[in-house]
Order: sequence, then C-alpha cells, then structure tokens
Amino acid sequence: MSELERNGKFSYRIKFVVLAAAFVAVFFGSFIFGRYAVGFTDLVKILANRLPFVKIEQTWTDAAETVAINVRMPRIIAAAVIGAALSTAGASYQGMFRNPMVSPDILGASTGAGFGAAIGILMGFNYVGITISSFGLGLAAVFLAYVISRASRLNGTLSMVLAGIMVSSLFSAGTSFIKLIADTQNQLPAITYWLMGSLNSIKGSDALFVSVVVAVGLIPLILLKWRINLLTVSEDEAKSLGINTGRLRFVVIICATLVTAAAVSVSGMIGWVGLVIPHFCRLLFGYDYRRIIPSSILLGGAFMMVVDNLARTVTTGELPLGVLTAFVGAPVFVWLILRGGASDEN
Amino acid sequence: MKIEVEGLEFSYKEHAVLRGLDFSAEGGDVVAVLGPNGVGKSTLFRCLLGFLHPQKGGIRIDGRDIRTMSSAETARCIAYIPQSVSPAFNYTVQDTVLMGLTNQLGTFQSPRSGDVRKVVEVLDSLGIAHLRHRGCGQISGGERQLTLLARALIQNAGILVMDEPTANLDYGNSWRVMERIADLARGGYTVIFSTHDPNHAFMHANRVLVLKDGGALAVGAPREVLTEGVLSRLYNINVLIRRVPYNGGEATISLPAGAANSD
Repeated sequence: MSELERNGKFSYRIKFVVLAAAFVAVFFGSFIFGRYAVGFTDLVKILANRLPFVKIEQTWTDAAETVAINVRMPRIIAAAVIGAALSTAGASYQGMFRNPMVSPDILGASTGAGFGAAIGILMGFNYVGITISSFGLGLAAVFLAYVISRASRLNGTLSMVLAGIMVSSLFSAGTSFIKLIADTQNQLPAITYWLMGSLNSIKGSDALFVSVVVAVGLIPLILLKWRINLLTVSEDEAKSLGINTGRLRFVVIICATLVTAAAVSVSGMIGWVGLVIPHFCRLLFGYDYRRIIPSSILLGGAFMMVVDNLARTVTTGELPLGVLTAFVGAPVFVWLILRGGASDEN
Repeated sequence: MKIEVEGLEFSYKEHAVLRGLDFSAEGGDVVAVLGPNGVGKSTLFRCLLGFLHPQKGGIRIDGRDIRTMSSAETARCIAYIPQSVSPAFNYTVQDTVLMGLTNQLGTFQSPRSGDVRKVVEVLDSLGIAHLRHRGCGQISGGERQLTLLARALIQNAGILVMDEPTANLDYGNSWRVMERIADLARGGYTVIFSTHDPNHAFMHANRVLVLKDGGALAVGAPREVLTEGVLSRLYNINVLIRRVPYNGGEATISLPAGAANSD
C-alpha cells in the first residue's frame, strides 16, 4: 500500500471519527437546548440512572427528568432518524437516477404523504390515524409511479422520473383541493402547519415507529452500499458487470421510499435535507457509496437535530422545520452551484 | 474463449434488424465489425452480451448457450467496454476499475484492500497506474477509455466487446487504445469491436464482419473482405484501397474518393 493510499485512508477515517463524534455531541447537546433549562450534569445523571443496574441519588427535579426523557428524547431521536432517512434516501435516489440534483420526493413519496395527512386531518383522524394515512399514501404514490413507469415504452429511468412528476402533481392538486374544502377555523391551519414540517407534537410512540421503519429500510441500503455504485453507470454497463439492474433498482426504490414515507408521515414536509446533505458527503468523502451511505446517515441526522434545536429555540413559538431547512439549504445550494457542484473534488 | 453466433435473427416488433447472422471468434482474434449507422452493430453487441434475446438462432460461449447463463455468469465470460463519455458522477479511476470485480463478489460484499492491489496491477499493465486517484471527469478521453478497458480486464472475462473504442478520441489516443487492444488479443483475449474506420480494421483486426441490411455482407480477413467494391457499397462513396510501405513491410489503407455514382 502506497503512502498516498495510507494517508488517504487515514484522512477518511479521521473524518468519519470526527463526524461520528459530532453526531454524538449534537445528540446529547440537544437535550440541553430549550426553554426549560436542563443542566449538563443533571442530564448525565438522568440518562445514567435509566441504565440497567445503575442507581444514582436524585439531585435533579422531576420536571427536568420529564422534559429530558418524555419531551426532548423522542423529539431528538426522531430528528436524528428523519435526517438520516431523508439524506440516505436522497443519496440513493441520486445514484439510481444518475443525477445529483434529485431529492427523495422525486417519485412522489412526500406529496403522497402530504395528501394522506391532509385527508387524515379532514376526516378528523387522531394523530396515529393521520400518521398511518400519510405513510400509506406516501407508499401508494411511489407504487403508482412505479407501475406507470413499468407499463411505459420509454426507457426505465426517464419513464420513472416522468411518472413521479405526474403522480406528484396529481397528489399535490389533491392536497390543494382538500385545503379548499377544509374547515378554515381548525382543519386548514392544521393542514398548512403539517405541510410545513414540525416535530413539535412528537411522542415516544412516533419516535419508535419512525425508528423501526427507517431501520428496516436503511439496513438493506447499508448492506448494498457497494452495489449502489453500479447504478450510477449506464444500464448496459451495469448489466455487463454482472448485476440484475432491475432487481437492484427495485430494492433501492422500496427501501428509499419506505424511509422517506415514514419520515414525512411523522414530521411533515421537510425539503432540502435529502438534496443537500449527500452533496456535502461527496465533498467530504468522495463518490463511493461505501462512504456516502454511512456519512449521509451521520451528517443528515446531526444536521436535522441542529435544525430542530433552532426550530424550538430561535423564537418564542415553534418555527416550521421545512422553512428552516430551506433557509439553510437554499444558500448552501447556491454556493454549490457557484462553485460548480461537487464534481471537482477528489 | 470461443464465441459462436449461428443464424442470429433479431427484430424490434416488425422491424427486422439482424437476419441470419453467422460468425465465430476465438482467443487471439480481433474482429472488427463494420457497417453504416443504424445497421444493427449495437443490437448485435446487446445480443452478444445477453441483454437482448434473439428470436431465432443462438449464441454460444465455449459451447454453452448464453440464454442459460445468469448475468453474473455472462459477466465472467464477456466484458463490455462502452464509448468513452464523461461520467455523471466523478468516481476516481481506482473506484471505477473496482466496479469490474462485481461478478466476483457476493451481493452484500464490497472490495477489500487486496482487490486494490489487483487494480493497481491492471492499471500498471495499461500504463495509467499514476492516474488512479484522479477523477474520471478530469482525465483525457483516451485515459478514460483505458480506465474502462482496465475495468473490463479485472472482470476476468475472456471476451472483450467494444463499442467504437476510438470514438471521441484524438489521433494519438486512438492509436494508443488500438495498440493496447491488439496486445490483449496477442495475450489470448477474444476482441470484438465496432468501428467506422476501415483503416482500424486493416491495421488492428485479423478478421472483419461487414454488416449490411441486417445480414453479414462479408466475413473474413480484412485484406480479402474489405475490397473497394464492398466498402463503396457499404458507405455509398467511392473508396480506393492502396498498399503502402510500412515499418519495413506493407500496410493496406483505404481512402475516400468522392461521392458514389448514383446510377
């Protein structure tokens, strides 16, 4: 192994360690941020006291424990999982469509989920019902786009993008219609607020739901990370290298859709994360999906926790996540465009 | 490795592209496939690679019908080198060549550090080891073509199918790439490449397959097959064939000589 290669590997490892440490620091730091102050020492004791076989004498208030464990923990876990899910789904879709400008809602998962939530709110479903309706219609939208693209005579990628655009516009028109007929006192504000994205009303059960579904979707993507590289070359090349491109693409779509729909059904619409985070991962770690997938999980999770911390602390009210990610994402995107994208790295 | 094509027929719906095509090639052969645009060269290659299934006839590799082989098995026999184009994602030369190992890895496996050594060896044999950490978007078209050739070599397949390997390359790079291809054939590879330049066939191939209207107009040694009459019919221009002194011996070249008489 050459010195250059050793240095290269070494620097990748250092970057990963720094990224992982930043993720952990942001995770624990997020417990401290908020209107109710929880001291760092108290936090460590509260968390340690929850470990099996550990008993610490209580020096903290019950209110601090309730805030840390019941209010902030589900929200922080959900933020980390949703950020990881959206950025990994974005990275996977970008590779699959051979286009770094693709985002996780390209096949209609987000607009489908938005429509599902709007229906749930219109029908007066409870919170769980809205989540289920949103998740189900997010999956249904992508399924519809996939079926249409399979029936099309156009080439696979093009027909999938076109079907995704069509399904997205259909579901977003559906959402507009529901907003039109919704009760303007309660339902319309609820739908509008949901569509802007927030983790304000997250409960432990939501965090558990999104964590389980996202884990189910992310594990195959992590295992297939090397093979996703092959989807970035032309269809004929990928086939000639010995892979069943149809099957691999199907698995990637299923997994990326599952995690996107689960994330959006819990948090509402959150744009930019799935588009911008993979770009940063490419800047830091190059184009190999063996590095893009794990770094997207860590960077996406950390980014979303930071954005959610801002959402609940910057103003006295809650700022919608979709608005904040766009405020952060749009300037970053402009910067990426001005410097010519990530293509000149490495 | 030996590849045999017998009575190959392929059509897209009612449009017949290949009609009753026969030819074979074995280790050491360099087969140049010539024919005007749209004659079915790409369709033939896609059949050879197992992407398209012919309606009639068959393709056998070392006696085994290609239809009975999985994509991973086909990849162990035939490697495909596409035309050199700028990639969508700027993978390094090393990462690009590593992709050639896919058929030797399990579904969830990734290449290991030992595999990187194999990549370095192959790149070294093609004289581009110094480029391995460069992005494929930042090297010349010729270097990119050699990178794709390296990816095919690491695939460990005995047959190399190349779609216009010198398209988009300058004069020097064309020559270098074709020389490497001839070297590989001397080392035992079976090479099948398409080209629009009869001189590539004269200089580098030992056999020629001339396609016209979906069938083989001629198959054989370049000097025997590529006559002025055949080339004129093929490209609809007058062509002159000349023998010139070359490297102490003699080389055959073709020269365009104006529009064909339409009568």
